[in-house]
Amino acid sequence: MKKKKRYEKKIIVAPTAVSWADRIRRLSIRLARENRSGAHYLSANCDAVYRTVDGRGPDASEAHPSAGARITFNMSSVHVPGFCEATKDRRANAYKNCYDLAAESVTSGNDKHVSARRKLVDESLPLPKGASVAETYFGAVDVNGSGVRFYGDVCLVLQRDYAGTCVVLDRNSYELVRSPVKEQVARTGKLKQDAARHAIARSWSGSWEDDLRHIVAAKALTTLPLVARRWSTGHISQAVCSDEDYIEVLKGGSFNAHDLQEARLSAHDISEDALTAARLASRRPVPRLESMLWSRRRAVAEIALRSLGVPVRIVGHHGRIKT
Amino acid sequence: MSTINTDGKQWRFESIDIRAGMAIALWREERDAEHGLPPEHAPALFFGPPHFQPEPMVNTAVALSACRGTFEPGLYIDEKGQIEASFATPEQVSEFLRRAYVSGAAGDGGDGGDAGPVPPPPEGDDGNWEPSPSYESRIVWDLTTRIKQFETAVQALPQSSSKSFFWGEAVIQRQERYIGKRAAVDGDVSALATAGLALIAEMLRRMPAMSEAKAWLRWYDDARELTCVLVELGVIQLIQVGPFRDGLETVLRRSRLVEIENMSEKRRLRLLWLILFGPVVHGSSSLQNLISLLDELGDDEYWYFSDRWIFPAFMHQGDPLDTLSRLPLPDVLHSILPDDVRNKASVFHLLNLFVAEPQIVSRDPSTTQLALCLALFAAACIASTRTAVHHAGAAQLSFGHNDHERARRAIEQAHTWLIEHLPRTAYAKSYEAIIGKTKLLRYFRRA
Repeated sequence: MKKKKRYEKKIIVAPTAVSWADRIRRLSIRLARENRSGAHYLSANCDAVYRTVDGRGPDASEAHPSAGARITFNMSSVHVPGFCEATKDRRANAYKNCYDLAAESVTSGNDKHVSARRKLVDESLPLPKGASVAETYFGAVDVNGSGVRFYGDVCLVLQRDYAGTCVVLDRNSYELVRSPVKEQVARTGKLKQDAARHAIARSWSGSWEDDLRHIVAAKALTTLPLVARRWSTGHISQAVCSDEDYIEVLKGGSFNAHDLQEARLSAHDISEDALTAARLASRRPVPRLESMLWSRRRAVAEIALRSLGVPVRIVGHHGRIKT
Repeated sequence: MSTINTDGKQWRFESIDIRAGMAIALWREERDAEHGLPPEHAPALFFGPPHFQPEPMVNTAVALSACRGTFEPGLYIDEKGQIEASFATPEQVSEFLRRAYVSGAAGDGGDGGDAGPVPPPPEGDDGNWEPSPSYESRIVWDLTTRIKQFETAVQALPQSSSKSFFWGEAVIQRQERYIGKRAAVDGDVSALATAGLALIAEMLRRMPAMSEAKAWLRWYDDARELTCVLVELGVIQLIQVGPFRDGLETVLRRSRLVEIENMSEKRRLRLLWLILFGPVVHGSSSLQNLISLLDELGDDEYWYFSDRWIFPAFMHQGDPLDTLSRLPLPDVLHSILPDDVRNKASVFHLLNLFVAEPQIVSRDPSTTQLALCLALFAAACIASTRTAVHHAGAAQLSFGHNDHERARRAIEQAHTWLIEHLPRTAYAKSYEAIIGKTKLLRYFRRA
């Protein structure tokens, strides 16, 4: 009697051997097959993504010094004066991650231990050899938007020079422990779960230098509509960082205000400021204290940044720099 | 009163940057000791300033990742970090964060970014004016009583409970008085004058030598800003020729203008009066200009402390919070502020502190009345003064039966504004303590 073939659990992990450039090629072929009308625009749109990420204009061969993708860190305007003071104090690590903040006892300090969930993710991260999580600073990629607003109203934009050696993940690393990846990992069996998480994280990752443009292209191809039209810079910016969805950067080592290209504020926040100011002028109605505080703290943050030579710009909702 | 739901689920913070007033809360049970992963399908809400309006979130990875920076992975009400803060409704979360955000502003400047008011003299006290308490103000009395009730409510609340709190009805503004509701009385108006006089005294105490051009200019600009506010609030009449005239004279008499020798006290008082309330002067010869003017005006009483002075015709006030941050807080109230902001303590700090945790002003009964007068003054500055450039009128002060009308309107608007902003919810002690500690949080501390 023929022995029934035993069902084997498959580890559903994307292969890591495939480069991001290959993935784009495969994705383009598949998408072209599925959507013939937009197929001939695929390559032109991908090229637009590459140029936008590199900071090159349509006909330029050289990147513009202030254009292109950058590492961004959002922080509340409340903390910006402290960040600037630390810079003035010649602190190399003026920007602080959770480990720095806990060590310096500047947070409320009632939860200093590394939680199990953070440990789980930290151990899976594809950090460069010798790098530690405590010395890693988590940012987001942005082209010309104002970053991830959930983390703060001021978007600190690092100069391009600092990006080269960074590891990039095509999504938030904590998605390793959320659905559907969580279930995917759970199906691999208890002993193989760490390896599975690590493999998945590696499959999401690449280097800024070689892979970021392809990672952005992959994100754009899977999030923007495939139509027989050219994508704009605004479309590409939205694909890079939109609402809760962003591309994560693992930057080794901290930075200070002198390492910034600029700081960005969102047009939405500035319109709130304008409304507050307009209502203050007439006192009809008198703005709420919180609104006035919010505007004032951003103004104080701007003064602190500009005193250190950091330009502060307002970014429109299509991700384009307005002022 | 709200208490913990029977199924143990409440709104609990997954990540929180309390000083920034930002947090992501999940509807879930208390965490296990290991701080494991939050439930996958728990409803999640993002809260942030300025409105603290809950926004639904889908991807809780954003909440988890926030803790890589300034957010903390949860909020605990005990020292050991075992009991999580929990709330029955999003409104309670929102109010908690709002108060913490405002409380944090009482520590603004502690890690840089705010120059604060002109510094006090290095040699210490040279005779402060002691304000007379405003017991005759019904508004001040009412606020004092309700602060005590608020404190009692907080002390009586069991852990993780909260209770709505009512700060009373605002005094009725002029147009509504005909229906017989309560309006501000002269005593209420005197609360503004008490605060105004205390601020003049503190400002004069900090007056630098005129020979220090930079320091003098900064002080002079701030002192004149205070004058503008006093005019706008209608308090100036009370102080100059009204019942607080004696107080002003005492303040002026005690102030110093040390570098002017061989000047009689009478002339010195008049010079100080001109510096504060006379025409605006510019340039390095300011003092000489004023002394020349003093000579022209002579020693007659007709202009000094009279109703015949003309105020600067055009007035401009910027952001009222900026103005408040330039008005120095009298020394006696510094103890309620964090150590690192005491050297730049201003009325801005007091107002935020009072709005976030009003009970703190009752800790020292000897200063409660002054703190309340100053809080009302600050609220009036926000609710009543205008920010646009405008014509103040040739303020020839002549007093009739409507003398106090402007000040009366200012105190009514201030009271209404304060009631709108004071805590709508009293939380249990441990929660109130967290709100209070927010003003101590810093991103950077100098070694």
